Amino acid sequence: MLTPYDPWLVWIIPLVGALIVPVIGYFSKSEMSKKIRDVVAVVFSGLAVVLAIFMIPDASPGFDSKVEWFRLSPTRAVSVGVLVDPLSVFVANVAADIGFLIMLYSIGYMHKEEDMDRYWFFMLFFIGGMILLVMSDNLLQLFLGWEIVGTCSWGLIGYWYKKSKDYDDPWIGTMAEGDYNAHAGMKAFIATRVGDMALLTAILLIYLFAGTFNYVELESSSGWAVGLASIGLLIPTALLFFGGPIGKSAQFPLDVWLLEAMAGPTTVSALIHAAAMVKAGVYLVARFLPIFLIASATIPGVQIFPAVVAGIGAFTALLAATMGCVQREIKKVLAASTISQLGYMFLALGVGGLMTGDFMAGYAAGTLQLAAHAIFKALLFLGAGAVLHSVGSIYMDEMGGLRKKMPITFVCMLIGALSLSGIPPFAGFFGKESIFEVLWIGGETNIFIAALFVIAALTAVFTVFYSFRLIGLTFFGPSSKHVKELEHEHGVHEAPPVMWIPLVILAVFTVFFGFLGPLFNGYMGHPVDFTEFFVGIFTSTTFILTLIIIALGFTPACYFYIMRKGNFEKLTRRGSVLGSLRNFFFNRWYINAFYYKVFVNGFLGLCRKMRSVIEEKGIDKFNYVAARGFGQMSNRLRKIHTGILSVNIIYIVAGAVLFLLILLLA
Amino acid sequence: MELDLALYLAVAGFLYALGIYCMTTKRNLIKLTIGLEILLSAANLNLLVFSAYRVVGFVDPLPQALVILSIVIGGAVAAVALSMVINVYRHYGTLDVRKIRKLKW
Repeated sequence: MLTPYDPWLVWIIPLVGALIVPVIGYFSKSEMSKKIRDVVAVVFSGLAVVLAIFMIPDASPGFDSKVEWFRLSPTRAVSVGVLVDPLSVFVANVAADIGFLIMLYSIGYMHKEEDMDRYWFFMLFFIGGMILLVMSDNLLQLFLGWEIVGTCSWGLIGYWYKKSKDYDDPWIGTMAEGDYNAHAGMKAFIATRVGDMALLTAILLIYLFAGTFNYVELESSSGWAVGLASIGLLIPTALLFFGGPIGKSAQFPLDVWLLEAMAGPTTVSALIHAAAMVKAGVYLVARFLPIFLIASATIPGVQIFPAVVAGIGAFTALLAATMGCVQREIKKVLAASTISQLGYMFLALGVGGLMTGDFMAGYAAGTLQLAAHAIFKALLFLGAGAVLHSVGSIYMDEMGGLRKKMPITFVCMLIGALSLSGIPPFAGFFGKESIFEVLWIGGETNIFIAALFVIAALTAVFTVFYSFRLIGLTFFGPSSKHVKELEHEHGVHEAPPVMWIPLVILAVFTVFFGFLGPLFNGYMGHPVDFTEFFVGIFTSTTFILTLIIIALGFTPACYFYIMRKGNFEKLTRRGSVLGSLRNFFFNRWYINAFYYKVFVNGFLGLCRKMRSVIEEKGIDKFNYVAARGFGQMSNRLRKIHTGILSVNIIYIVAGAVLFLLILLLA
Repeated sequence: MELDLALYLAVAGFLYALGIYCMTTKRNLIKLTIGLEILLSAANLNLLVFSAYRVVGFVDPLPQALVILSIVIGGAVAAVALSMVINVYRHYGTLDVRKIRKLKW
């Protein structure tokens, strides 16, 4: 570490930067000063990278450094702290390093935008919040970082809320594009909020029994688990806790927000929805699962929790992979792919938890896939951004034949797709292979894990298919009409260097990261022999299975989309089996439609009913009745004023007599 | 109560009744003013009577002083009332109260 305060500075600096850059932006009116502001923003993010990288050597054995914040009682205090250990340093690096490359890329991608102050603020705030989340040593601080990234996600998805052209969404309807973007941002926020509330409930329940939020203390004391189990709330608390990752990492049943989140700029999709925020859920499960298993080691029946994690992960992986096969927009394929790969990570962590003897294998496999996926998914998103930037359309039907026009982007995206499909020797292959190995070993003794293995294998076939469908539709085949029109106007050209340099860097990492596998496993506490790792991978049964999977997935994709033979449209015409399957997948298994119908429209309907019954018939009616009643009464009273003088005098006399009588008699 | 006192009070009472009758039934504003003055005189007589007959053999000067004050006030009231009547006549062209019916609902 460069300074003893590195673990603190690594998240404080981006947060400070988030405050400073808009101030600079406020005072910069000329092009030059705007460029300075952009460079300052990237520099802040770069500083975080430097600090993060220099924390790596000190991560193991780690340390926990905390400062007391306030006291609740003589025995209970809430403190702020950082925990330096392999997992936190590692994920902090993922967030900071990939974040920096994406910030650099944004200078090119967003250079025509006007509102960049807001963009840089949210991006830096996000990076700071993410690193805060990862480096914190207690659950409360983690929740703070969790909410920060959720807010930045909302802010950045709805970044282009001012656009006024109409946009046709197949699931929500037609509205102005700015409104759609804002809707997407709100949807992401609300969906993750549901998960966040579950997480907060679980955190507070644990605090109630443990008296501390700190990870180290939670792990070393098992009183809280026993206490919770004695009232039967241990598993529900753990499941509520998992609710947070379900929301943040877009797993079933809270996966509906991630596809809409593609409404934001591509850099946002790359950073938040590929490299960082969605990984926060995986990080949390990786952090919590060991604590949970160690603390509840003496309690029977806790295997349900890792089983649920693994089951949801596997199901989501399959669900999302099928959704990705039929999307028309390039970013939505990548979004579905992200959900699917996150499912794999949860699957690995959960299965590791089920195999109590070999937990670290699953843990290491899940985190290896976390890193590899972050790199190649960011690569794919940034590549897609370069394509979008050149072609100006999000639909893959309007692309095609871009192989020769954008060669660097093509090669980088091809590398990304190969990695995503799990083709050796790219990073994704090692990640997926590790997960399959863990599943294979676990499946020998546990039939549930064996079933999950089958689901994972099936998902892998779909993964290969949609990856190459994406590459084929975008880069191969004849140019679409749209591309031809653009060719006439100003040509479709490669992205500027500030955009393809990060692409190339990420591509290089994708190629070589997998080979760091043994180092990585050792770093995470699961030491593996170097030769054993590589020889083992290439000679195991799972390797042969992987080759079969790749062949199964690649062949149809190649046939339909790369060589452009055969007519996929005819195969999926209305009424046929494939056609109805396609509709089912395209409508996201109707989960999204269900939520809109039941929750959104249901809630809005309830509000309308409340308004008409309670507000209009109840409260308003009371107001009208009261007002009208008073009006009528005063109308009657006013007849007293006759204006006839004699009558008034009689009133005076009568009043005087009455007064006298009262005086005399009382 | 002595006969003298009763008689004086009866006169005052008669004057009250006369004043009230005049104010409630007359149409002419001047007549109403006269009625008001009669009512005032009734009150003054009422007060004066009690100066002589409250305590036997002693004439209380306080009511007599009050009555002088009251007469002056009565004079002032009459002056103001008559000036208002003149203005009313100038504004409405009539002295009939039934025609001046503005302060109604």
